[in-house]
Amino acid sequence: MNRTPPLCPSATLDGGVPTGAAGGDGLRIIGLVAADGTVSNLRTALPVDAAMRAALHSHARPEQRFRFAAPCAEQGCGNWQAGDTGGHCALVGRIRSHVAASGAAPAAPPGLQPCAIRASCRWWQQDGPAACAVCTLVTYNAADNAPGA
Amino acid sequence: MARFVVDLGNVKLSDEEHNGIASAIHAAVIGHLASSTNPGLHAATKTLNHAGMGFAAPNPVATRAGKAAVAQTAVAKVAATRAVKAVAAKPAATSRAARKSG
Repeated sequence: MNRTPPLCPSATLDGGVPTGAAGGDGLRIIGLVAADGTVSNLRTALPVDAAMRAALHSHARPEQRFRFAAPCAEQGCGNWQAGDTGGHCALVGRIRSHVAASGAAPAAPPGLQPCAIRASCRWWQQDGPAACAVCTLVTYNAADNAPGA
Repeated sequence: MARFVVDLGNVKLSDEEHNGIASAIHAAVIGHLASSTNPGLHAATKTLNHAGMGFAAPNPVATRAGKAAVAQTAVAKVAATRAVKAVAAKPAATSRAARKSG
């Protein structure tokens, strides 16, 4: 039986198969990047079908406007760290360390912010509320992987 | 809270019609949101990108294996962190110099 991996909360527009496509496994929009650079989570994820993905591709950097979620690529992702217990995403740990080291960690929210994917989120399953505390500070920066960036 | 409701009353819709309408509404909303730009965002992201966060590149082995390599490069942007930006300035300059010399 196929195992459905947890969802990556910082996927790319091309990081998942559009909803409705053959083998589609639920690429979706889970947040909107606000003017201050933080992410406002949607209370309900918006599925991204093929037509919507094509439309979003007309924008230069859709990942800097939207947060996408898609099934975790695990070994197919450079942030995956294999281990005896099956491996984990190393990215959220680095983000937490960076935010802590910057000395500018946001004040702890009184509660968890709304999240459309928490129950199946890879970061939540690994780090729990500590992941949520930094999650809204994260956007994907495609320029990091561009030649010469 | 931004919430939009379309009340169709007693109109009978098939599942297909319902899904089609929902998809069209989602597409319209996303289109509007996508078209509104955020001029300060890229600069802030780039600044912290050069702060030495060390995000991994896609795994080339996995890519060759045909897996959906997802370049999970994310950037934590801490609002109003002048100290971080000051630290980031030097690595950014160093990085540029390295590229030029390379």
